[in-house]
Order: sequence, then structure tokens, then C-alpha cells
Amino acid sequence: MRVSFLHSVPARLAGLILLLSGATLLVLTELNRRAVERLLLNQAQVQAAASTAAVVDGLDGVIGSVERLARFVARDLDGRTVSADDIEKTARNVVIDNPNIYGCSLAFEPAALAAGTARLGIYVHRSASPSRFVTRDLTAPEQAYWTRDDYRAVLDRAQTIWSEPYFDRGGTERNVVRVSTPVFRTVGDARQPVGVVSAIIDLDWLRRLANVQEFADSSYTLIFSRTGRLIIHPKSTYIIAETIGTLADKENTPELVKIQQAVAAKRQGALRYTESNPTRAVYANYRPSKVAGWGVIVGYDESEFLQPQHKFRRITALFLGSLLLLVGAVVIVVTRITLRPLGLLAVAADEIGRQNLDCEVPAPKRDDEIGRLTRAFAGMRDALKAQRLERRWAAQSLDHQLRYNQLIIDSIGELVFVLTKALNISRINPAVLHGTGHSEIDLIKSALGRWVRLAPAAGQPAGPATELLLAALKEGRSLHDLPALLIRRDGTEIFALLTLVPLRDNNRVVGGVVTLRVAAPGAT
Amino acid sequence: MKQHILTVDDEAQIREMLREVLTTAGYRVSGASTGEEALAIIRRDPPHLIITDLQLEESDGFDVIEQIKALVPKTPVILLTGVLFDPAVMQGPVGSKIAAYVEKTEPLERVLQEVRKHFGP
Repeated sequence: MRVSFLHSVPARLAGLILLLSGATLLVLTELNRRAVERLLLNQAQVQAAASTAAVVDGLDGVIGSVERLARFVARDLDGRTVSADDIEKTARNVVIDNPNIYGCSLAFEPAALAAGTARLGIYVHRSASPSRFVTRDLTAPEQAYWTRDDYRAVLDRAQTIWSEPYFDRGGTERNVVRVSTPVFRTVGDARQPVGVVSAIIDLDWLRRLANVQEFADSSYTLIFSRTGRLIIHPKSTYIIAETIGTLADKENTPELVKIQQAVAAKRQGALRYTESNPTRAVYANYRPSKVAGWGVIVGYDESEFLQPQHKFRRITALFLGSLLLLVGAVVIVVTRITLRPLGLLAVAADEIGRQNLDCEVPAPKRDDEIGRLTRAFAGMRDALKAQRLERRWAAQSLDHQLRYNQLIIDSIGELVFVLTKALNISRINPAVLHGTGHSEIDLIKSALGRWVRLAPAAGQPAGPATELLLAALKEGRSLHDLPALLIRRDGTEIFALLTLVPLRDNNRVVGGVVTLRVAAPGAT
Repeated sequence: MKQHILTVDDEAQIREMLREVLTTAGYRVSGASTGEEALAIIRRDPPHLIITDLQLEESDGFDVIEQIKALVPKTPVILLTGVLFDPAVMQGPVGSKIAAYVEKTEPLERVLQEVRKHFGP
């Protein structure tokens, strides 16, 4: 019976190898994947931390210098009686000398001015006009500068204040943030604020600062104010319009609120969370600025950094899969070739089991165990064949011998009776039938004494041969040429000489052979 | 090249068994059932050894041996004998013409042994 492929040794061996190799490779690949992912993400985290630090340092450098410049101008004006020309010149120089500053305003209360002067205020900002600068008089009625909260707050608190980012509508017409610092005047022993120096920073300029620090396609930078108002965001529509809180609600990322709280507490750190639109795993590094209480978040999509690894993994999986299939195929082919003689031997064994010793046994071509088995199998088949042939030879020999023996016996002219130990006739030769006229049915199994009597001594009747013959058989003796009478079918008796030879089987008498030699045919 | 052996026996069964055992042992075997057929084969494809029965159906084995020897005097002849053969015959003129005799009552291996004596193992 042929073994199905699935149950064959090659298939099972290939399956086992594929299973073990596949499992091992899967485990190794998975361990490798985790290690590489950890490495790649660690590198990304280091980059994000460095980028965050760079943005914060740049931010602090810019807004810190602006704040320091505003303080410097304020101190420079401290105690001086200023004129409109002076402050315009000062404001213009501030803007010209500091590319970080988009505009500068100086406004003073009467106490800082010459007697009779009500208020003085100048706002100089950059412009795309040929003159490159625009100067506005803050004392103009439409400005209402003196009543503004940011102006009044600086005077009331007598300290530097950073504004919330805002759109400078009617002024520069852009998103800006302003730092304002008071100008003091000593009156008696007291120092009182009498004016305000403000510097305006263009938020687009900060965006450029953030963009410079982006380190990946998916990386982005958020800068938010102390209150969480967005100053920089990849979506320009979110700037100023949204806060960290509203953004967290909109994008279902409560982690942003945690970040804002951490920044407010002057803590830095990192969080991993999932953004919903689009859904992606985000890693965010955050850090507070030193100057204005702002916060910086640098985030990135982790999948971007895992892309090379994923690509490598796909290639590896494809390669290993192909390799495993190739190994499996090689194992199947090699094993089938190796074990092919076993299949042929199984077929040959079946044939031998069916007495077909002429079946084909694969020729041994190798010296390995299978080659030796094949050779031994062929030898066994040949030995069986020789043995069977020998048996056939012996059988024909026996048959030959018996046939000729029978011919010889049948050709003997004397009457031959083969007897059992009880002197019953078990076999006769044709001469008996011819000499007595009896049929074989009459004679076989009958007692010899019915047909043969020993010749009587003188004056005595003939008696049966039974006792004398039995005694001779018992003693294993032969009797030769005893006178006897043979009773024929027609009732007549003929004279014969009787010879008895015991039949021996391993020295044990199992019967006897009686031959009757008729002295003279028809004699009585 | 394989050694060629001619077997002569009027019993097909004997010829077939001899063919099997001799072929397995690596010899090339031809079979003849009569003396005439044997002589024809000898003329056509002279054998290296002849194995012949003594009692053939149509002729006397002794006569066949005489004819064979007349044709290929140097080719050894092994005589297969049955019950009716008395080994004493070997001591007569026939004995000088045959290389060996094997009784049919002996194992086949004995036939092979006699064959190998002439060709080597």
C-alpha cells in the first residue's frame, strides 16, 4: 500500500523542520523587532528632547532679548524729559537694530513730560511700504491707547508684562505678542511708573524658529502661552483661536491638558498618547520657557520612525518565508531521494509476502544505512529464493525417487505384501492381483492370515501364519523361505515360499514386508 | 562476459530450476530437452559447461555425452543422475568423459558447487 504524501516521512520531516524553524525565526524576529523598535524610538525621543530644548532656548533667546531691550530702553528713559522726536527716534532705532522686534511703542504720562504736555505716545512698526516703517501717533483720538488694559496694567502693577498673543487688527494686521515694561520716575523718595515701553514680536517669526527645529516629516512644534493660548501650531487657523484646553477637547487628547499643567508647574517631560484625527501614536516632549511662562511641545508620529523597521521586517518576513519554503522543498526532495529505496523495499516486502520472490528489489547504490539495508534485503530475497528453489528441487527429487521406486516394486514378479504390525495388508504389488485373482479392495486392510497359510507339517492341517509372523515381527527377526499356501480367488491354493522382513523406522519395527515366491505356477 | 551453461533434461521443471539457480548465480543459461536440441545449441552458441541428465526421453544420456564430446571435447560435462543410475558406471568408460556427477536427490547447492569448481567462486 502506497503511503500518502502527507503521512510520508519527507512530509513529516519537512513539516517538523518548518515548524521548528518558523517558530524559532518568529521568536527571533519578534525579539529583534522589539529591540530595533526600542532603539529607533529612543533615538527619536533623544531627537525630540534636543529639538524641544533648542526651540525653548531659541524662544528664550529671542523673547528674553526683547524683554531685556525693553527694560534697557525704559531704564534709559528713566529721569529724562522726553520729547516726541526723542521717543520716535528711540522707537525707530529699536526696530531697526533688532530684527526680532516687529514694532516698538513708547507712551508716557504727563509726569514724564515737559510741563504743559498732556501725553506722548509713538508706535513704530515695520511695513512693506517703500519707507519700510510706519509711525503712528498713539495720542490720536482713535487709538484710545491710554485706556487700554495692557497699558494700564503695566502702570498699575509697575512690572514687565507679556501679553497674550493677539491679532493686531488696525495696526500691523498680523499675529503678534507684546512685552511691555514700565518707565519709572523718582518723585521724592518714591519711584512711580510714568510710561510704558512695548516691543512687538511677529509670531510668524517664531514659526520660522520652530520650523528650523523640526527633525522629521511628522514632527511638529506647539508653543502656547501661560494661559494655554496657542502661539505656534501646524494648523495656522488654531493660532490664537484655540487653547490647549479646546484643542484637547477637539482632538480628544486629554494628555495635552496634563502637559499644560506640567508646564505651568515648570516641569518638563514626555508623554505618549494617541491622536484621533488622524489616528496615530504620538510621542510629545514638552518643556517650559524661562522668560514668558510659555510652553513648548515637540511631538512626532512614532510610526514614521518605525517605517524603516517595518519595511525591513516585511522584507525579512518575505525572505525568511521564501527561505523556509525553499528549505522545506529541499528537505522533501532530499529526504524523498534518500528514502526512496525504503518505499521500494516496502513494495518488495509486500510482494515477497505474496510469495513473489521475483519482485524487483532496488539496487544498492549507497554505503549508508539505507544502502546496507537494501543490500541486506536483496540478500534476504535471494536467500529465500534459493531456499524455495531448493525445496522445489527436493520435492521433485523425492517425487522422482518415489516414482522410480514404485516402478521397481511394480516390476517385481514375486507377490509383495506390506503389512502393519497386526499383520493387516496395507499395500500390495500388481503381482499379487495377478497371482491371486483378488481385487485390491478385497485385499487391502484385510488380515494376511485370510489369504496365506503356512504349509502344514506332515500329517497336519495347514494353519494360519499369524502367530509365527507376529512373534518374528515382535522380535524384529526375518523369516526366509517358509513353505506357505496362498488361497486364490477361485478357492484353489498354490504353494509358495514366504519371506518376512520387518519394516524399521529408527530401529522401531512398524510393520513388515512379506514376499511370496511361487515355486511352480499351478502347484498345489 | 557471463559464462554460458547448457542444461539438458527432458523434464521442463528440472531445466527451469537449474536455469533459476544458475542465472541467480550469475551465469548465462540455455536449456535443451533432447540430445538433438542440445547439439544444435552447442553448434550455434558453444557453452562453457554442460549439465545433462542420464535418462532422456528420446535418447540415451550416454550416447548424448558421446556426441557432445565428439563436438566439443574440451567442454566439461556434469552428469545429473537419478535413482536408476549406479555410481559404479562412473568407473567405466563414461566416467572418463564427464567432469562430475551429481545425484538428483542431492541439494541444488551441490550442483552449484560443482559448477563453481570449474568457473571459480
